[in-house]
Amino acid sequence: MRQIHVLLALILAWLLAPLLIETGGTFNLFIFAFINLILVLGLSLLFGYAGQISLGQAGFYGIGAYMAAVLTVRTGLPPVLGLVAAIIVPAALGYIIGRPVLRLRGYYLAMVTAALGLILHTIFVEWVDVTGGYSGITGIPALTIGTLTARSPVTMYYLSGAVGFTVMLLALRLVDTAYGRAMRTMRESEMAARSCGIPTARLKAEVFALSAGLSGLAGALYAQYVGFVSPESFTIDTSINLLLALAVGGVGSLWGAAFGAFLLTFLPEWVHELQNAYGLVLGAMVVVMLTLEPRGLWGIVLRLRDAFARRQATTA
Amino acid sequence: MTSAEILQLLITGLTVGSIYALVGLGFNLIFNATDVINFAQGEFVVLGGILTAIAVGTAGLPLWLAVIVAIVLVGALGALIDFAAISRVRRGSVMTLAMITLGLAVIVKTSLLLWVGPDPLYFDPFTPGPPIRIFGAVLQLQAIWVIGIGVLVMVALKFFFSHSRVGREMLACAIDREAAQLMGINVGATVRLSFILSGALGGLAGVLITPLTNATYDQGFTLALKGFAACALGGFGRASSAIVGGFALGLIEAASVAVLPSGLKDSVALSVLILALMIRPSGLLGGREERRHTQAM
Repeated sequence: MRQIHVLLALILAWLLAPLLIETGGTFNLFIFAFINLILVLGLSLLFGYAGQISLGQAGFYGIGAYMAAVLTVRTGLPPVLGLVAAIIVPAALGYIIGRPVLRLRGYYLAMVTAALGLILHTIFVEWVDVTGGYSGITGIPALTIGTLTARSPVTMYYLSGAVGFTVMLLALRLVDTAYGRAMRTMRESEMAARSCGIPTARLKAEVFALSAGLSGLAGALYAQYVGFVSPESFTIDTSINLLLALAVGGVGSLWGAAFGAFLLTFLPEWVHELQNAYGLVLGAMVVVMLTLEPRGLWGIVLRLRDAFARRQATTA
Repeated sequence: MTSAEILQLLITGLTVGSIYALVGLGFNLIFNATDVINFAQGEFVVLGGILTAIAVGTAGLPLWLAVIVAIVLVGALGALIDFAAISRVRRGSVMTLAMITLGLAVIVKTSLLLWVGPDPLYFDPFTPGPPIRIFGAVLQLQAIWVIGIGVLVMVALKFFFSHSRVGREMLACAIDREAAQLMGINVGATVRLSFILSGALGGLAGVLITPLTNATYDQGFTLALKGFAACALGGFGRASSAIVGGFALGLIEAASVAVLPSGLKDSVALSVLILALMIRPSGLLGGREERRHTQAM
């Protein structure tokens, strides 16, 4: 079974699922799952494929959400323009910041991106005139394309799903191109990449900008669906959870990222009797998973597939 | 700015800086033995403070005993982390190990939230009494404890790594694990010891600072970031650099509070970290060369 077949099957399931879904709550969960999917895919391209860790994704997620909120609520621009700005501004900022910051590697990069995320969070809190401080911004208009307004859960389910699947499809294509191979070469060895003529400094900044833009897109979808933004959605905890979800799903695989995104969305639902306890479950999953299988859930799928293939070979 | 204000700034900066230095030294202990950055280092500090507060407040232990219990327990948690997770990882890079510690940090933090709730915990300073006034500046008695014990621990660690056999074995493990093993060093036990010491050191930092700042379950990551900044400002892998970096960071923070809104304190300190690393990626004093830990998983 090829990747594209799996993806087509999933798209079919996504299109038909509303026949089985009865409550708005379930639609909400899937909408947030698609938003998380975009976030984790961005992180997967950056960390899993290009090898550049980031603990600051929530900052760009927040910029996207605030762009969508501020432009529509404060200046009255149409929501579509807010969405476009929510992609372009974080991407541009990501490139400008990424160029110098991505000279750092490993832990230094992890900590510096975490610091960036904290600084951006401080800006969301302290720049009260624009962001509304802790009380945030309310009354953000829903995304409207032509005559279609994505306020109802079902409409947004299809819209966010369409965006999510598009990003997944493009990401799967990207990692198979020469560009994607350059990313992976850089992950394995920067020196090897440079000696092949890959401009690593530019490539890193471009992938960082790409993941920042995707985070911004997710932020805009979130803000325009929920209708409200406040700083508490964009803390360092959000960034940490995204990284942990990716680790459980599988660093270095886009399908692993998808596992992680859905886990991150549904886990709090499954353990919601315990309120905040899902941190315990997520943390424990990371520890157990990485101790046993550093490739995450996706690694387990690969192992099962190999075992299955061996079995087929011996019985044939 | 009057001279009293400048003196006050120095006192505050050195007090906070000692804590950052202690957190940084905790990072260094594990990093020196394993090349791993322990993201749960800040949680060790918070746990030390909260355990002491509970031992004093709820269990009614005398302070000295509560402090010992807290430090021993956090050290034991360090041992447990290595025993249950880190030492069992067979495949995967140093980054995998660092991610595991990030997961552990979330576990400790969530447990603390569920156990003691979101409110800050507190216990009385080690020695009661009014603060000392020096030339118009205020010096809390607890600050003397923080700086005093901080400096003592730093000196002890410096000698531990340069003069004791165990300390040098730890360094050998980080420089080349296989070679260290071939020289007859028990790598597993050395790493375990580094986790215990690092936990105890973090716990001690929490015990020292809690009477001044209170302990809340979610302070861990920011503390870890500051401790890391202390190491990074000085350059990784050397004890002295964490101390210089910690004091520098503490002073910068104190200075920023004097001129800017206090909500920007963390951002100013972290901006300094970013700028310093941009200019000198290996730290101001020049650290050990980056090697294995530079690669992704």
